[in-house]
Amino acid sequence: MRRIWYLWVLCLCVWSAAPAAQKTILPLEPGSVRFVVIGDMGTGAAPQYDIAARMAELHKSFPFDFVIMVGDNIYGGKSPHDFAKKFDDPYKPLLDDGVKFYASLGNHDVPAEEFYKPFNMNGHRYYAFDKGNVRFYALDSNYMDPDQLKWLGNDLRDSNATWKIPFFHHPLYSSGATHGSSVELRHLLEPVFVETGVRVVFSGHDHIYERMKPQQGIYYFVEGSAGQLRAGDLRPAPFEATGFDKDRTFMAVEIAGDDMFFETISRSGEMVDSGQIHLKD
Amino acid sequence: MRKTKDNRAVRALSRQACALLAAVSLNIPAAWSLATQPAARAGSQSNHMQTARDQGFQEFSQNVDRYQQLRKQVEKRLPSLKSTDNPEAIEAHEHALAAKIVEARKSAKVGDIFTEKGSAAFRKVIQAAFSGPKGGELYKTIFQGEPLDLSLRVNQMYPASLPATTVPPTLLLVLPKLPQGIEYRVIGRDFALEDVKARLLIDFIRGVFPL
Repeated sequence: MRRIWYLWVLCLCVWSAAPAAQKTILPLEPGSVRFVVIGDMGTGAAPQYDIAARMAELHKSFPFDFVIMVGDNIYGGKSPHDFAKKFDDPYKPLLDDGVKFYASLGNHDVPAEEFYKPFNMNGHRYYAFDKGNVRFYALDSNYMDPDQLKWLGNDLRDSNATWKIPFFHHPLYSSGATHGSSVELRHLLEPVFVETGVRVVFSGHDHIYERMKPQQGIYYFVEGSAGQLRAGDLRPAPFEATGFDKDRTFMAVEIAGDDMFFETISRSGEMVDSGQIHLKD
Repeated sequence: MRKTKDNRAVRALSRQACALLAAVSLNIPAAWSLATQPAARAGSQSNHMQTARDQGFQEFSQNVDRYQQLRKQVEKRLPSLKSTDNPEAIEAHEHALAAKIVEARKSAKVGDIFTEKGSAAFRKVIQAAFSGPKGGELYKTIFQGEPLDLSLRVNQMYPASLPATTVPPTLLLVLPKLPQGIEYRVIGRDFALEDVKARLLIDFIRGVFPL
């Protein structure tokens, strides 16, 4: 009788610890563009591995083709051992499944990372690539010189892609107490984004997850907690729609035609945010 | 009687008005001259400053070109770096390039690229930007980039384990353009020039940033 009682208590504990089953909103439409967003992850510590395991788990039900990295890909040392510990090993199951990773540089990265083949930068500190109807722009926000600004403006203007998605390290909007919004960068980039019909921007740097209310028609996300975390760093800001600073996260995104669906998943598997963005809303 | 008094008063008034007009008309050129002399002086001073700045930047750009030529010569002696799965090869190339540049610039010292004139020009432009209306934003950019103090020396490799402070993008708009692979760096209060392919500090100016 006592054994049954213990079993019952154990079941209750397991049930209460498990994340509530949340219905995915990702439609898995044929031909859609599916990817994951991670930032500030390259610590080589257990939480990075936990998030990587969650990503691999998600890949089974949501087969995404690639991952975009919003910087701080390798913290601290940059020896071959560091590349293994902070990138190759945690993401091995995904790399083995043929998932590609596209990196942008953060302030903890070094320009030599441009030559690391699995980062797909092809020796460039900023670059663009196409996936279906989406053109992605990996920018170097550490050093936004006139050449990069000119290249970005020209490419955005020339592109006929339905969606144009820039991603880079320093956030133009952030409620993070540690860093906050990069206002100077915002004054340079936002007018170009508005002019060329950018709707979504991903950044990191602040070790939190945050989604802003649309600013000049643009949805800004901070996803800087796929390895690092600054618990309790979020501060009230008028531009914030929602945020999460209690644990590590990553984002799963699907773009189907004129719609973008996203889910933000925590280390425990909890869906901390989700939504749908229509291109012309 | 009254009429005569009035006439006298009018005549007195007109005499005073004429005297005033004469005084004013005489004083206008004098006042103009007084007002324009400092402006002209300031104008010529400003032109002089601009010329000095241009000369400083020109000298700097020539030195950077010379460095670039040297780097090209050194690079020719190394196998070119292509994208690779092997981080060891990347690290080895970076170190080999740095070692060869250091060897070729054994006697390099502070001020070889940022000469006295060049340094003065950079200091003026940077200080003007930081004390201007957007100065606050520039400070914020630097502080968001996790600034750190590092004792600098020429031919030193920037430690890969340390973060890089963001260079304020509006500052980059007003500084001389650099060839690919050479970048400005903010390191604490110092302003440095880095060969990013070799992660090598090739020159710097001390105490530029009023942090």
